Amino acid sequence: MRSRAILLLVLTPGPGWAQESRDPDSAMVARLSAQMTYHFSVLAAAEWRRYGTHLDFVPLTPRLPDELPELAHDGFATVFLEASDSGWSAVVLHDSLPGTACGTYVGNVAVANRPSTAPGEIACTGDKGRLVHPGPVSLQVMHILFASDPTLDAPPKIVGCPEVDLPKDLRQPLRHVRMISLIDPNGTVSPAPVRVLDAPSFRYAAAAIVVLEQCRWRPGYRDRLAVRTAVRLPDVLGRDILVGDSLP
Amino acid sequence: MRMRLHEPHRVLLQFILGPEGKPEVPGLTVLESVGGDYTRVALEILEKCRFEPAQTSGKPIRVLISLPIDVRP
Repeated sequence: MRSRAILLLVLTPGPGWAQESRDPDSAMVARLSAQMTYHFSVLAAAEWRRYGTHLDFVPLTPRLPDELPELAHDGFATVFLEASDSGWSAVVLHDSLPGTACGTYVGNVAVANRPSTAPGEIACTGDKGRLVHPGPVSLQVMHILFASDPTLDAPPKIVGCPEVDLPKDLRQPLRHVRMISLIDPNGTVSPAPVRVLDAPSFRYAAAAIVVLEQCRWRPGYRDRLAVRTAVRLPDVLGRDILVGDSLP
Repeated sequence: MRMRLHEPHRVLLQFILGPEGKPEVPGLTVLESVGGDYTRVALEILEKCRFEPAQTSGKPIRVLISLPIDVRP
C-alpha cells in the first residue's frame, strides 16, 4: 500500500509542477519581467526629467551608457522608435530571449510606432513574449500632463494677457508663433522651459515668449486638483496668439 | 507683473546654430530663467550675437548650442 501511494503522488503532479516542466525558463522569465519593469521605470523617469527641462523627449540610445548607466544592465538593449516634443516610444530587448521585445509609448506617437495598444501599457511580442509581464509601472513620473490628456477634468485655458508694447515693425496681425510652455497649478506660465516650434522670425519668437509669460491661465485640473500642464500654443487656445495684435 | 532687472541672473538658452551662423527659430528654447525682463534681454542679446558656424571637413554644419547669458542690471 505504501509504495502505491508514493507512485500515485509521482504520477499526479500539481499544476505548478507541470508548468515548471513545460517551461524550464520560467524562473529566468520572471526575473526578466522584473528587470524589464525596472528598465521601463528608469527609462520613463529619464524621459520625463528631460521633458521637464527641455519640453521634448529624446531618443537616448546613442548616449545611454554615459547618461543613464542604470539602464545599461547586462543584456538589455533599448531601441527608440520615435521621440519628439509630444511623445516617445521604445522597445527593449534582452539577449536571453532573442526575438522577444517589450515596448510602450507615451503621448502622441505615430500608430506605426506604437508597440502597445494603450499609452503606458507595456506589451511584449515574440516567441516567449506571452511569458514576460513587466509592470505595473507608472510611466507618468514628472507630474506634468499634456493639455490634451483625456484624464484631465478640464484643460488649461487662457484667462487674459496684458497689453504688450511691441516694436513697431512687429505690430502686424496674423503672424503665428507656435510654442510649448508649462502652465503651473497657480495659473502662471513657467518662465522656463519655453520651446519655440515655429515662428516667422527670431524677433517674433522672442516677442511671443515675452507676451506669453505675462498671460494668466486657469490651470488644468485632474481629480479636482490643479496640475502642471504642458500646452502647445496655439492649439489649446481655441484661437491663435497673434504677435503684434493686442491680446484679450 | 513684469520683473525689472534688480540683480544679476543667468538665462540659459538652447538653439540650433545654422550653417550661416544664425540661430534657427524652430527649437529655440529657454531652458533656465527667472522670467520677465531677464528672458527678454537675453533673447535680445542672442539676436545681436554673431557666430561662426561649426565645420566638419571644411563645410559649415548645424549644431545644437546651449548658451548661458548673464543678465546684469
